[in-house]
Amino acid sequence: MPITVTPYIPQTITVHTGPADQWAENVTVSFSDYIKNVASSEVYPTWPEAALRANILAQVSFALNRVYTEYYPSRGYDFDITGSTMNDQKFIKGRSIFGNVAKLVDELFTTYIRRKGFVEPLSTRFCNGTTVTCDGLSQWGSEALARQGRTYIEILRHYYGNNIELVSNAPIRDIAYSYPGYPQQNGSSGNYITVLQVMLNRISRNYPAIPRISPVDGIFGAQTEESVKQFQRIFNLTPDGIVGQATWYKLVFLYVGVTNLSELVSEGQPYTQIQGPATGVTLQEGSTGISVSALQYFISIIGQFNTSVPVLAIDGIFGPKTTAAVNAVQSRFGMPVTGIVNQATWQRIYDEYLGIARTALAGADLPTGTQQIRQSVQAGQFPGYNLTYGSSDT
Amino acid sequence: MPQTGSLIVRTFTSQAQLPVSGATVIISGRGQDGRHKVFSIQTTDESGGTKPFVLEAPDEALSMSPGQSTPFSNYSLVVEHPEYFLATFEQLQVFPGVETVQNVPLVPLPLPQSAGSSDSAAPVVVTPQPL
Repeated sequence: MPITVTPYIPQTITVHTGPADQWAENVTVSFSDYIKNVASSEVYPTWPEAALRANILAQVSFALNRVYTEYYPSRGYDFDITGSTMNDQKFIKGRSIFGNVAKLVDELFTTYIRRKGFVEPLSTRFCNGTTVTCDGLSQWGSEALARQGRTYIEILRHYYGNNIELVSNAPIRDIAYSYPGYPQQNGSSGNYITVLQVMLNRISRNYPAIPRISPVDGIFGAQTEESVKQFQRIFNLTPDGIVGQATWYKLVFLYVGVTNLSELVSEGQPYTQIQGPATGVTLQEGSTGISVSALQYFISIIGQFNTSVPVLAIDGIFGPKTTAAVNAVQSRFGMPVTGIVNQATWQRIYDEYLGIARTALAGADLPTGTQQIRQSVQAGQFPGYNLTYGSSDT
Repeated sequence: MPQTGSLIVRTFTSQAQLPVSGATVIISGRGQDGRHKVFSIQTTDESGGTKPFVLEAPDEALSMSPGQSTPFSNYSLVVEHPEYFLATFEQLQVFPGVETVQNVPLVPLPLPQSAGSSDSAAPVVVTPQPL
């Protein structure tokens, strides 16, 4: 009897930025940002909305099919999809996206196409329809059909057959706070609003233009509405003061991002005084101990600031994931890619950590040298920097 | 009558998207006479944002059927802040009546800055849609 696994929307997706069998950078981005990038890279934003919707739904389904079938991991690769149009869909790391496309994706990224009677997201092939043709959606054809007044469903049925259906509001995996399912606005109240207010207040610490909500009372009033509007203006969402799916998930992703960074920063306090390996000594796969923990901590901090560097579990064991991370760091900094940490690699990693600690995290008052740490310990006040929500938010 | 589109820039650092204020944002490109020129310069505000840049774009009809000339204008974007790697973007696309949104994640420079090492990140180049 086959076991059915329900498809889900991954929180993030790892994209290999070249052909599968060639070396290229892996980039991990949120799933909605991935689709915004693909939709902006594949078609023109000036096309009729029905054509854009049809293309976005095909792009979502194609990516979810790759994730669901574990197409690349099952072949031994450490990514979910490639950014190459030869096998997958076009993705350009760091590119700009189009405002109207982004708004459609915010609405559609939890919707996918499947065949009636089947569970898996459809492997929705597509091609441009002029220089390349295929058994799937023609991008230029979809544009012409939309211009003739066809809806996006009619366009999708035209290319993928009448036995397809759309699954909406698919669950997002491991998300801290799922969308309540309907818009929250002035007059709403309850636990969702408490969560909303706590998230807004936490984000307002970094974005002082967002007014703080006080007290946090679970009631969506004029004050909460004003904070939501200001948040929407900053993050280029429609500033209507209503918390729909797009605003909710933007808030949750940012809140999770801020709390992850804060927890990492506080977790790493013991490691900032660790000395690197002496001349001739190296850390490599199989090494264990506190200096490996420190290495994992520094790499994780760097990974918070570079999408090409992974964030690691800090367990003091130099395993394959730590090797891969060291490779990524060495590649990122233009050093020989060895997966082994000698004094030069350690120093480069530490310099980068120091740059982050003294600029982007300057407000965090991170200890950056043994002398400084000793002094602060002697003063009886270890400079803890705990940003998890609590005291001042509740 | 030339058409226009807009460009919105937002600067931040880390996955937590901490805003970077005081960064210089420069938009340049080729003018109608073919010469390179600077179109606009702004400084990011406390939220890391700028006011929208309004920029010229070609006729919308060019994007409505295959085989025509390029349906967007290209611009270059440079974001500078003394404590971060210089971020550059090439061939940014601006379509008529469309808002282009460029998020700029800035990476802190290492300390001390080693002599001879580059303080620029690899440029992002927006290659055209495969249409």
